[in-house]
Amino acid sequence: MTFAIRRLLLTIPVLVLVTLMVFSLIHLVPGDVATVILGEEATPQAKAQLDHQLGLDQPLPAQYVNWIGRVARGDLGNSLIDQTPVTEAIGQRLPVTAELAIASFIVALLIAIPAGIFAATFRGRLPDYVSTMFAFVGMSVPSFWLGIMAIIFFAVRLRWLPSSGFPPLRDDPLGNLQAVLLPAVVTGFREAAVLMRMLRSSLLEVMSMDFIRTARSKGLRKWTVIMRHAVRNALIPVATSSGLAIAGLLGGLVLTETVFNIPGFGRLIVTAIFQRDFVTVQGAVLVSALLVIGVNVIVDLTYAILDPRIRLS
Amino acid sequence: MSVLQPVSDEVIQAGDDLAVAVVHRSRATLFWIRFRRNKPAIFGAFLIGVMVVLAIFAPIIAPFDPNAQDLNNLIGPPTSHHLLGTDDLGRDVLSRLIYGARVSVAASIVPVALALLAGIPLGLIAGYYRGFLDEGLIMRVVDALQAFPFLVLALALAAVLGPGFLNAMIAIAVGFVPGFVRIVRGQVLQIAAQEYIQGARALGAGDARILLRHILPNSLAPVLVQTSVAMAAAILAEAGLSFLGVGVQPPTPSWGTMLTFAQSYIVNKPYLAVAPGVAIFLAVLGFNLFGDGVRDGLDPRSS
Repeated sequence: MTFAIRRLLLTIPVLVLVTLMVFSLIHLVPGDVATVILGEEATPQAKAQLDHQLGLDQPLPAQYVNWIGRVARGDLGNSLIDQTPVTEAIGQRLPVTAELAIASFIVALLIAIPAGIFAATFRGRLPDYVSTMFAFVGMSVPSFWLGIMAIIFFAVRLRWLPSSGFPPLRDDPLGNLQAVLLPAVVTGFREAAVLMRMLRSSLLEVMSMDFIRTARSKGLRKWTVIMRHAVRNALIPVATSSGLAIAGLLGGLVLTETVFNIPGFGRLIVTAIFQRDFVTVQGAVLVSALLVIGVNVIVDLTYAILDPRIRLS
Repeated sequence: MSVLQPVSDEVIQAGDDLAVAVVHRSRATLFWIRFRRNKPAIFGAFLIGVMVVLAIFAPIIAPFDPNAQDLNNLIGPPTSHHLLGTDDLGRDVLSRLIYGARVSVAASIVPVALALLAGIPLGLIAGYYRGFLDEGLIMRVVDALQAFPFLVLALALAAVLGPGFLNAMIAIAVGFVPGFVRIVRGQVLQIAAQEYIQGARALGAGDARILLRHILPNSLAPVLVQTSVAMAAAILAEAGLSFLGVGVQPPTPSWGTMLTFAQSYIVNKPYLAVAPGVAIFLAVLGFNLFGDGVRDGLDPRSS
């Protein structure tokens, strides 16, 4: 329990700093924000009104306090383009991205776990070389290019899968699943490479430990030892890095959603940037950071439950 | 090298009076011996070399001016004249691909150099002085920066600073700083506790001398590994930002913007998307393989 409290207290300074950074974003805009948003020919009245709407006519500390107060009540401001609440736009887009992120993560695990186990078990032999080569390809191939190539082959040439469009899961589950498949594979591929390398080295470390030799010498089969004893322990450090993986996936999805034209969270940020809708950009960046912080806390707490050594240290 | 060489085909027995030569090799020599045995790493170095040569000698290698427009030959197919065809303004795709190496080479150096310039001093200060400066300030800022998904942070920064190559470089650099601070700090914590540092202090060396002459040189190995990993990530990130339109601006040729263009023609001219993507892939692969070789060379136990 004290561990949980300590872990939660630790997030407070991070939250404060994250909000300060997101708040500062709009002040990094070179020159006059209102002019940048409205253009050179905007009237002084229009600029003053926008400054007022954004609270830019107040002193900085007051701006931050007002903004953070509204954020705490779940108000991220209104879009500069259509005046709709930013939370509403994010609320609509986030489930799509969450579905993609989960699907990509599943794809990553489905590739990484077997590949990592094979690589570590057959260290220095063919399966290891093949898995490692695959990992280097995965870490080096630009996901958005992979997406374009996947669209060319599977959607344009073979017509197996749709190239864009995203029917909601509730209305058209099958169409939704088809639409999720390519983006999830493309985004998950890179994460699979990272996770596979991690699982390989963690598994090699576990397999050199005494309890593995004990398990082998009491007569258990090699694969029983690997699956029942080694993999379970080796997965712990891999699971701890899930927070990083989620951050990587959220970033990767910005590109994937653009390539596949999926109305998700990443597409929202990109569109907002081109419309100079800094309020939406600010809100979306804040939410993405909060998501990463949240996942990290959950991962750490789960980890502490699974492994008492963490709690007691 | 010593004159005495160990005799290999004789069995050495206990009690034999045999002088065994101990060859002293510098760390750099040991590194090189291990590195050159790593064939993928050599291949990586070769890929990086090709990219650098293309970037430096682009005006000599490229068959055409990358910005010369041929309005009679828009989106032309590959021919013996234009090996990779022409784009929507009739510009030679191959020439633009070759010139595009310049952006990627710059993208592999600039953000990483900026991040090193910020990350090394911050890591040294945090690890050496500890206390509030470390736990209360620098590391909390590092934690906060790491809460942002790398590409989302880079995208948002590039957007508020305004589209353009230099701003994209700064935006990418910010995302790399936390990694370098953490690595340098960790090294400093380990090294500062060692006896030779206490010895240096006892001899009257000041903080600056200890940090720069004793701690920094000994903490550089993992920084070097992280640098090559970051260079690979920087090329990917720059290509991504340019692809989204917030990086390199037209008409400067870059692999990312070439893919943005190619994306509009995937139905009729899918071949346009192949070459820029392969170029990005090979450049990133080069740095990843090279970085892995550096890691193995510096610390053979890591593999």
